[in-house]
Amino acid sequence: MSVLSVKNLKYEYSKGTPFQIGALKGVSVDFEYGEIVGVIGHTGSGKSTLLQHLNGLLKPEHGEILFEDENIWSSKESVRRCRFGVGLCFQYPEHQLFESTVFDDVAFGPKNMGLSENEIKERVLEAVKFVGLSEDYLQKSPFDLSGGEKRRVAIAGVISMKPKVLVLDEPTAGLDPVGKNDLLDLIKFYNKSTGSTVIFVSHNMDDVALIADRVLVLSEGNIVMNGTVEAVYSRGEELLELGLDVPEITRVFLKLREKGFDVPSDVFTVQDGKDKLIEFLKRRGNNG
Amino acid sequence: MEKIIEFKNVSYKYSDEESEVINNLNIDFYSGQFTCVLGHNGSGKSTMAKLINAINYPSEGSVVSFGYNTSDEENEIKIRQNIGMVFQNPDNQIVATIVEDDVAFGPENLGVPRDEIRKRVDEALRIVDMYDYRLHEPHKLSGGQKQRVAIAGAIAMQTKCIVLDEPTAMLDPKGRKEVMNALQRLKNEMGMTIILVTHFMDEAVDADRVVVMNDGVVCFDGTPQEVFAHTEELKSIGLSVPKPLELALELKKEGYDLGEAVLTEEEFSEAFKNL
Repeated sequence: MSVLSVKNLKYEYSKGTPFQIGALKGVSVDFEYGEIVGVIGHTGSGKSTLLQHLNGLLKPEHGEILFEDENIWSSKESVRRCRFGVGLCFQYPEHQLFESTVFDDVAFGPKNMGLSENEIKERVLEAVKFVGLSEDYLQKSPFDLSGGEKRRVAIAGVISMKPKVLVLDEPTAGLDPVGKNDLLDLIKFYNKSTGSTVIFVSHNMDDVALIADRVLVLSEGNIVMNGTVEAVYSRGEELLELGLDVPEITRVFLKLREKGFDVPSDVFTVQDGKDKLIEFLKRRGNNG
Repeated sequence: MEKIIEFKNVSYKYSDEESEVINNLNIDFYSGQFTCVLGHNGSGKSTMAKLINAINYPSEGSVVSFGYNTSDEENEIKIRQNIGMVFQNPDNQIVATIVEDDVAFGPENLGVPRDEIRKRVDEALRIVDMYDYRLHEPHKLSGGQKQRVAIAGAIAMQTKCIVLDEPTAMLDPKGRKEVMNALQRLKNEMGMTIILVTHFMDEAVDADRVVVMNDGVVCFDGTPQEVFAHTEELKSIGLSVPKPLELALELKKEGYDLGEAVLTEEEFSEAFKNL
């Protein structure tokens, strides 16, 4: 059983007006327990629209979303179950903090779930610890924190509901290299230690290569690629045609190939790149 | 080259904070140069950008932009006429409902004659490659297009310098490329001085000069090649180096030396031919 299934989902914006745009044109995809899925696609490809369907923020016009084999729109209870079971963290989530203390902000979700006060407290402490903030932060105002800290608080607010699926829209946008790596480590750690499924949208191909098990590529409302990082990224030229980027290291290898060197094109990280080039140089040394 | 912005012993702190964000900073910017300012979150780079344009005033020391001391309130308008600023969020900077009206907003406020405004707006939109969109509604544009409209707004004011604070942070790769191309054109075709604050190392490789900030002071200042040669130090202050260079340095450890001037895939592949 998949934790989340999308079946033939269609959605149009501005329906019935001259500005009608098909945002999703029949998307079907399954998400499995415990996997990390990276979703890429240029602006307007439909990826945010897809994300907003996953926890019932948008209601499908056609097709359905199954959460643990149950159509999320089949009853009031099923929508509610999905809202808590699939935690959605928007782009720039730090803009959505609103309570007067970090504790209250993180506690908002668990409170709505109707948990007891003790349970709420436990959840908040756990979530804040997860995102790498100390207990000293709990009584601070979230508005006094730095951008990176605010984002952690916002993510803690979703984690505190212990969702089976954590959905993040561009979690690393605007962070510096260290902030970005810390956050990616945290997402990976959360996935490994809780077994939760993670689905995240990113423009950064290097981020996706670093932590995703599987990659979905959206273009014009359709899923055009779906596979492992290796399988998808090795189609570098097609990705560039879709207006997407390839990882910086892949670009180096594509350039080397263009100049006549017989090196592979499915290389995404510095470490792998180094191994492949040394292999190439040694092979050439032996032949020459 | 002519010195146009001068920081002298500048310190700055936000009133409710204890420590200084900018700490006895001395730095100059020169006419016609494309300078890239790097630094991790909280390094003081955005604060510095705002000090240039009299949005922030120094707590100590002085900033002189185009001959005007920024601490003197009377100079504010003159400084802003010389220096345009573009911010991170493309949705926060557009005021009008039609692209060309938005670009005309600045010169209109200056009382520029109508014919002259028409000319400036057309020129500004052409140079950022948005002329075909002059009658579009801004809210329907992509992020990269909106940022280029914001840049055109500064050009139409005939500013001599543009300061951009992470203008590509919220854009997708295509939008980032469009904005970077527009900036290169401003420098090459108009001789505009550009100060670009960014997190993206690959945006720094084509700059004339790279300035690295940490804890409110400048810790590196030089050409991209000079600055990125300090790989380990850059990593220790939370920055990275362009991936081609990182790969070259890894290969060097194994005895294959590509040199240190390999910041782009083009430079890397050329150096690789010599191995």
